[in-house]
Amino acid sequence: MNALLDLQRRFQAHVLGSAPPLADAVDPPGADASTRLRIYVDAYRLRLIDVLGNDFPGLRWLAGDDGFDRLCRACIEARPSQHFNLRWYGAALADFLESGGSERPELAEMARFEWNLTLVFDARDEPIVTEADVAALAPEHWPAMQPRSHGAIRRQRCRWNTAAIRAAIDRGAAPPVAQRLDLAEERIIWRRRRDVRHRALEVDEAAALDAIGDGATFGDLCELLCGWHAQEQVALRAAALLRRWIAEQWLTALLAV
Amino acid sequence: MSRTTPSLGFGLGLRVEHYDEMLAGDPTVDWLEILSENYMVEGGKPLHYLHRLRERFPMVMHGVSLNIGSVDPLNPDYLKALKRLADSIEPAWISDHLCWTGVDGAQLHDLMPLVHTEDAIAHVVDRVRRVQDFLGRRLVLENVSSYVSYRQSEMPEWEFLGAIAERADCLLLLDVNNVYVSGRNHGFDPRVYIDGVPAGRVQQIHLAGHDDSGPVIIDTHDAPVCEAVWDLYAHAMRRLGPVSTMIERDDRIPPLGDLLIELDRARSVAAPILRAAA
Ligand SMILES: [Fe+2]
Repeated sequence: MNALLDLQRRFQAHVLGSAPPLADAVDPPGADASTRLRIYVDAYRLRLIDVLGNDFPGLRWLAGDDGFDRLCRACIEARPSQHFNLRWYGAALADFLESGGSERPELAEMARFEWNLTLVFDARDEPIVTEADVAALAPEHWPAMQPRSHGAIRRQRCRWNTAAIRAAIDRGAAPPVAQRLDLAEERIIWRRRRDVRHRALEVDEAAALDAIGDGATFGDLCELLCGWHAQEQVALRAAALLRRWIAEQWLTALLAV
Repeated sequence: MSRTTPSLGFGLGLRVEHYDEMLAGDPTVDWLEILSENYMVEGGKPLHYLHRLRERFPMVMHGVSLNIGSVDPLNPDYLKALKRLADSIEPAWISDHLCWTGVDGAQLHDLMPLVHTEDAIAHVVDRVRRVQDFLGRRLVLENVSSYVSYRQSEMPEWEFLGAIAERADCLLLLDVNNVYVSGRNHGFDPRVYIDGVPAGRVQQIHLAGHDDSGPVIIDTHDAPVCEAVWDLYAHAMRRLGPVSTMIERDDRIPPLGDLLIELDRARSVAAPILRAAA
């Protein structure tokens, strides 16, 4: 067991870059051994970079192919992969960039955005509220009804035209140059009929969505919307938002309290 | 005596690129192998397609992260995710690789070779038994391609593989391409390898392509099966009889039609041999 442990530790330390080749332990000995071990050293990095390249096309475009390769390698050195599933390594890249992995803030924002897209892609399936569910609700139950949002939804505040760049790449079009937005936008990332989508939220809409996350009722939403709309308009606005969210497939339940 | 499930015929590894064609057409594929880790997710498209395809094809599960040879403890999260997936798609069997993939919690996402010693056999056998108890079924273990061998090894790979299969009472996935690649890299005769594995325990065969452009052959799964591997497959068929066979392509994925042509070649290599034996 100890011999096995020692061999695996030395092998891995070499692959991770912290130890010389275990030339005394492998056949054939000498320089040929390091050439052969090099295959494992390279494969570890290339496999991770390949997966990251698929999940972060926007980041690769912003950083350029060489820059992207350098970023990935720096991240891999700083944060060795810890999860058995390669699919989760993207979280390390987004964290790495947010904690100073690059001087360019638009890179960190793009990495977080693309990681959010990846998380939404295969997040848990949940029931979807339909228009029929709303129609079945008696008028007297509206004020106390609690809309509940879908668990697969992610939110991100964007200060750059990150979403426009990624959307162009997804369409196969030429992406615009990176630009800071005049006004930061609140984006929502979700899944509609299994396709990942994202769009900017209006200010009152974002506040209303936050509120239902905290358990607000339809009545609470009306009150909240007074911050943006005249008293006689708020019920209409709240109902319009609710219908839109249902059409977008953001709601998983309408709880009668 | 054979402990294996009867042959499912000729299959393919399921790849995202072929989802729609697999569902829309009527491809001549008898069964599909899925990469288990790709479906260890909560929902969305992967599981949607998986379940629709499962309605049409027998499936087997193939994993890369069991880490059966590592000195780290078995990962309970991985085993639970594996069992959850198996419970939902009811595969004909579950396979992984005879290798190690990381130690001290690190994940190298690669199939590192094991040292062929009695100690390593005892270590792996104990772990295979525990995995089999947990899953409630026999595990199928695949031979990997390797680029280094260890000086401490006490026996050739086929003896190591065979001893583990016998003592742990598990089954084998014989990757004919890996036998060929390792044979060239380490200078052994791949026929001797195939003749040396316990025939009654071979549940499945992989055929794949490799890269033969450098001093060492690399198992890339990105090219058609080469002539030498077809010859070796014929040799395996003569020894093993009917065994579920599939083409494994992981990179530079060609149109489904190209893989079906390659799969037909496997059928036509196997058919006369199996007829003559019958
Ligand atoms: Fe294989």
